[in-house]
Amino acid sequence: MKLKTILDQPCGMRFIFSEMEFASSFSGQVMLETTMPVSRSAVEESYTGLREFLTLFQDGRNSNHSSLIRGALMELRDIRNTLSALESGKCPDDIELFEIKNLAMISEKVRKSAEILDLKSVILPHLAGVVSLLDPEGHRIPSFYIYESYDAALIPLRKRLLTDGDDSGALFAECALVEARVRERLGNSLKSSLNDLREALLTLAVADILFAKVTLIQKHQLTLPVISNGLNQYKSMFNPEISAILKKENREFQHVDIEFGSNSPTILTGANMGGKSVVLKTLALSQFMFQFGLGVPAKFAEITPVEEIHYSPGDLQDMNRGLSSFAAEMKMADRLLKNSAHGHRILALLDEPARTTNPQEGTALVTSLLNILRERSVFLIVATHYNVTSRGCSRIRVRGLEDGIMNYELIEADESAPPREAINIAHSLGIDSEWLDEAVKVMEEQNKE
Amino acid sequence: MPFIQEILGCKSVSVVGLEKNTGKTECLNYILRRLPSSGLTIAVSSAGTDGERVDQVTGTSKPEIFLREGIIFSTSEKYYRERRVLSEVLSVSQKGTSMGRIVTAKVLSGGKILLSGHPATEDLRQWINDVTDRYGADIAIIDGALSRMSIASPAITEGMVLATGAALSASIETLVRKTAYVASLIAIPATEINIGISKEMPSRGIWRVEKDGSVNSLGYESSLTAGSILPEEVRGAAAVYASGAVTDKFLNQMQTLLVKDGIELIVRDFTRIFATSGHFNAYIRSGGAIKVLNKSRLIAICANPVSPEGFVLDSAKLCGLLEKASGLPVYDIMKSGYEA
Repeated sequence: MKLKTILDQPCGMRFIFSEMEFASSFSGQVMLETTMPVSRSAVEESYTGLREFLTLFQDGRNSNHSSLIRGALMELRDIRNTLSALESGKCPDDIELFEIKNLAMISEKVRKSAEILDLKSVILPHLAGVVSLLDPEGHRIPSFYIYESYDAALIPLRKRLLTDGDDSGALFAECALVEARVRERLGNSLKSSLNDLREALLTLAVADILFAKVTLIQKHQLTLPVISNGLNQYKSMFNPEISAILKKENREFQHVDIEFGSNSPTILTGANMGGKSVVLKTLALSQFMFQFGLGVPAKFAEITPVEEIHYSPGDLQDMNRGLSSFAAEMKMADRLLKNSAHGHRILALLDEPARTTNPQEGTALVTSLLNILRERSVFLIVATHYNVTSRGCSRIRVRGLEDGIMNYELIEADESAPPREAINIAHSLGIDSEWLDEAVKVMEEQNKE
Repeated sequence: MPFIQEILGCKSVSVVGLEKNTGKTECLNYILRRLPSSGLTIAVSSAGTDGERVDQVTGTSKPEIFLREGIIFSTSEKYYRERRVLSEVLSVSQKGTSMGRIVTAKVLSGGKILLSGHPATEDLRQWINDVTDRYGADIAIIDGALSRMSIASPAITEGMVLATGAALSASIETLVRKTAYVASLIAIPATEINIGISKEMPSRGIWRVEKDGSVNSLGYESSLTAGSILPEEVRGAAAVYASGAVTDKFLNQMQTLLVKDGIELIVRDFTRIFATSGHFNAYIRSGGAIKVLNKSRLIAICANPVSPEGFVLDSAKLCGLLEKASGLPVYDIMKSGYEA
């Protein structure tokens, strides 16, 4: 799954991506086209690079070189089309030759700084040959035209052009012929460096992405997670997007701790407005951030890499596909069941599944889903208001209202029915009391029965 | 020719045409020819993507621009490939336009090129900064596109040259009247109220300006919804500042609201006035005061007596009448013979 498609999921990855500051927009493009790494080694590798860059930043001594690299990366452009055209045998024009020269010069500049800094995550090919080919006069400035030194025939022609003018256009045409010959030759010589140029382009984008990851960590106080095996644990987890909104209003996001494993499903209960949805959303976001090698929003995190992340926010209505929220949810659970049966490593976060149907059937659907998935090694958290009786599940709940103030802390819960706080919370919202008093009466009657 | 001296005093100049085929490109060519060739780095670009060799609307041929050695220019990829000038690529933009990305290059040996450029006004401002800072341009000249008065805003370019001509109207009287109206808008004086934060005046809404220069919101989002401003709300104010478009309707409303109390109307700059000459003149005649926050500098008017349909107006008469009506020097750049 590419990052591009993940941005459309409602877990807030779009916000995270928009907060990343790339020196070149091309790097952002490369990141969007990245497929989510799923293997432990791939995730590990991306963190090795990030760790190296983080140390580079914390170690103020190297700031000269790192800002030199960042400065050079600002000029990085997407020249993949130019390289493909060159490969297919098209004779490059001045603009394309300029682009190739520019890339080679940036790459050489970054390579030298990276070597001084001893960066293991930025290994660039040697492109000095390309630079001298496209800068035959050794100016070492990023500009390009067909220099006279390419072909001695150009010298007298251009001199005449300058002194005599060219009303008929004949001189210009003659120059153009010579220039075309030079371009052809340059194109042929450059073909042997195509692979190096492609590698340089991608490596430079990766370096830029690493810089963007470092600044993201600093901007949102993210943390580098421990790569775990079978356990997910977050200490003082927060949602960066909601935190940012609250900060603007001078309010603070209450951090929460949560721990869950793949050996048993977790049932998350608690009052309305108790932050259950935010917890699931943040867990989905953190997992994506982890898989893509980003810092995660917590003080401490230990996360297991998975192959699939199933996040159902509870209002999956998909009008484009003509699915009602119930159908969309059922389809998603169905996919989860099938894929987990095939032994895929999965994180599933289901926010009030089957909530749009009647409580009796809903409870049965959720309980049975938990019963089946309990046997499979899936990281599963289900937030629900239903009184699910499934055995062998861990239970946590939101602490809830305390003196009229919501405490979002997550605590262990026993197997008793979820607390009934909906009416209290509705009161605190100032909802019509006649209605709520009537509701209490109805409930009392139900209890008598 | 005197106006070249004035151009030299600006860091950025726009050449704006009142209508297609009013000789805007000729005018630009003229300026480029007359600017001193040594000791001055000139950068040119265009505000639009209408640089076809043959005018797509009227079928007349459009002049390419002649650039001499040392000039920095920006044009689209497409036209760069079709250039007939020896030039060195300096940079290629990230953003693309309908004609490809923008290539900035330096002329090594004089020749001709079609200019087409940044369609967005904000990008032009960025371009001016870029060529000034990176390539040391002393003066940046922008070839304006059809009906793109916004680039002449003092927020973008310091000075402007207005190109008018027979293409605007076949009748000298109408031509002079229309041109003089635009010239009078450009000539609106800057406000004398010392607005402390004038550099960062709000970009939205209608505001009340006090005598001491302080600014308070009137709570109206735009001039289009300002119809319900009550006289009490503006009583005692020195001025009312309209950040956005000034339309006929808005001007009429302001006439009844402001004129009798002697409150002045301040607009950001002349490009925000979209009112027709009738309504504008009625406002002025009723004693209304209108001022701008940033005054534009109209360097000269260039008149082209030849229309694309082929008829030719009397050049001397045209220039004379225009000069009289606008109070500015008017030149027929098709006619040579002006002293440098």
